[in-house]
Amino acid sequence: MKKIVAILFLGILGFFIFSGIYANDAFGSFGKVNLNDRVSNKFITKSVTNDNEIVEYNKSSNLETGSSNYVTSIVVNYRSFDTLGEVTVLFVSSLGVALLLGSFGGKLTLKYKANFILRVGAKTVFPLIALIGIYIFTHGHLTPGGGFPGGSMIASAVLLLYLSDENFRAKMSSFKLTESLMGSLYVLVGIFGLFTAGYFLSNFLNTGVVGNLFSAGIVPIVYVLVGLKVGSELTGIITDFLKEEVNE
Amino acid sequence: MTNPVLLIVIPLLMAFLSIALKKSKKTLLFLAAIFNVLQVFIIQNGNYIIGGFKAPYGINLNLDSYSHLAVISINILFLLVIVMSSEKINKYSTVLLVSLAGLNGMLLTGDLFNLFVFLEIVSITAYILSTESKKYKYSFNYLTLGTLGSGLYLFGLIVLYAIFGSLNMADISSKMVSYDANKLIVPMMLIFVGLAVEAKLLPFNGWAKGVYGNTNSLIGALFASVYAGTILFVFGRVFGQVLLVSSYLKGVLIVIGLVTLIAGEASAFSKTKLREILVFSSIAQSGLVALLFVSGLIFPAVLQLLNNIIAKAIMFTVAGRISDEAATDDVDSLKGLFAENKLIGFAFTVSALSLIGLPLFYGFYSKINLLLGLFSKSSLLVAAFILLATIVEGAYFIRLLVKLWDPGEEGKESNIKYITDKKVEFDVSKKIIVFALSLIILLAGIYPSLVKDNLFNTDKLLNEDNPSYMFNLKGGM
Repeated sequence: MKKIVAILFLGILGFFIFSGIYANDAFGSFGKVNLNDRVSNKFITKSVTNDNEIVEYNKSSNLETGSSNYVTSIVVNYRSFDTLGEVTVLFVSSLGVALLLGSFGGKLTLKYKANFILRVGAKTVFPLIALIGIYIFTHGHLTPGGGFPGGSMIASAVLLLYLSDENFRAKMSSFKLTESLMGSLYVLVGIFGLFTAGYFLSNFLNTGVVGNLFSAGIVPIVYVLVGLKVGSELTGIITDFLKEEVNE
Repeated sequence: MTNPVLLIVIPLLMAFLSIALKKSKKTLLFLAAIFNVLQVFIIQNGNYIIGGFKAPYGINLNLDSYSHLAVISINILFLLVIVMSSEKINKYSTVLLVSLAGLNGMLLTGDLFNLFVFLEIVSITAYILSTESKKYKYSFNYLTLGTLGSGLYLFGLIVLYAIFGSLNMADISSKMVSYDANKLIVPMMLIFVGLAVEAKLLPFNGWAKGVYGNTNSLIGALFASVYAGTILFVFGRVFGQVLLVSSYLKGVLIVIGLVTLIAGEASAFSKTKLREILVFSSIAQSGLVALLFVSGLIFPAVLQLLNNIIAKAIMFTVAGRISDEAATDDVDSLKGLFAENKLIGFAFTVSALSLIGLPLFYGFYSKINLLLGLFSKSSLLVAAFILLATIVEGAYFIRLLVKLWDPGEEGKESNIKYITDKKVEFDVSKKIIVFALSLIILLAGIYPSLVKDNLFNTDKLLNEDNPSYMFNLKGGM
């Protein structure tokens, strides 16, 4: 009975939300929106501080953000402060996992003995996955991807090692050190911008030619920091979760 | 260097460093907290952009007299709370550093999505801190409700972004003026629910009793004064200044605030445990402050908010310490406790009487201001309900004080031999800070002009009846 009431209530609520959003002209229909009203328009033309210029791949140089990937230019340039915040969200979550699970539970022993092929195979793919992860976050300003997916790939490679070999233990102290160092460097890059250009996290490097590997100023640097930080944090979370369950 | 962004990033930097420098993380926490307290007095009001991109496109921090007052009070309270319970913080130093960064971020940001990011950071630190009591079920409740709430906030924000094409507070606020407010009820309601979970407003505060009711002196004071103060300041920013609430929705929100106030006071009346009484009093105060903000009475709301967070910092520190030492916080087993701790008892009494709003205490000044404000808006019914709630509040606080001061049975001879056998020692730092805070309440009650002149004369924003956020944002647009 309780469930039926809950489902009914949810249905009514959903109806009101749905009709409240779609039954009026709150959302302009497709193609009818005036793009000049929206902030995203200037992100695409890279003309927040300057006037409109045509951006050409491999030609335009020294734009306000040199990233050819729109998403990256928003995430790590226009709204880099949010990304610093999201990095902190992950940081404090992994900290919470460590604080909660760190105190109890022994090391998890696998119920199976991984066979030879899995053990050797995992060790063979590990560097490849890690390499692709590194590629993804170093090219975040050119291609889809960036610090978060790249870092997650590295952590998934570590997970593979954990699953194939129960004697494998990631060196947590070095991961912690990476995490701490990368986070601090991100903040310090921002503070350096504050001292040199007057704005926190401002892009104080030359942004180069759109589409080159060495372009976009501090964006690739920040993405490398974020990638390594996310990788070490997720590895830490995985290591913390590899504990025997405790019944209290 | 007077950029307010340092209030956010210096604690954050210390937090990252504290992972590597494990041994000195407590020192880093104190360094950051002291740095922030010094910094809040140097920073100049203004609009600070981040990354060099002007306001609606990049993220900006808006430091006006409202957020300046907020960062001053929250940073000072944060420092005092961690000093008072410095023996408890070692394990949680990094979490506290991150929360300090997040709290300042919430108060300063001029961007609704940036606010969401900091809200996430702060609520995750709150979930972690709430596990201190080892009552994991309550923490899990809090986690579930809090995550759902911030999810709804994000959903509402997405709808607003789809309509206005901007996330900047000032930009949205100025675009809302020429938009039919009745069409915005759904996103506004979603954002309201998201903030109301953290602000403990009525149908969304199921987590509060379990979490607050099991806190120690550190977590309790931190939650009830620093966190609650921040979320209410943010609520006042979003619903008092940025978003224009349609008159229909305003009615609904005021009723929610009133119901929270009355139900909170009534529940507090029926409780017998010290911390539970204080939780429900906090819930009631949140309802009151929220309803004042929604009514557009920013100045009285801020006064009442300060009254609540200073008083609750004292009361939760005392209550947390009592339950740590005596292993219970049942009022009946703590009879006459203050007779042996007169200084602490004095401070607790001052804060309770100030919360009721008796003359001579700061609470009287804030309560008279809010009533005058409501009269001037001819919301007589609301004022009547607030007065009714005050009577209930007075009844349970005075009953509580009598029990805590007076050894022996009610109505019988009070005798020193009836004093509770529970011994509660308060260390020097707690005594000094709690006493100093209560002196502030007394002083501000006797000379209310001190508060008014020092805090609000720099800018007319808070004295204006219904300030509009966008006109206040200087430059950058």
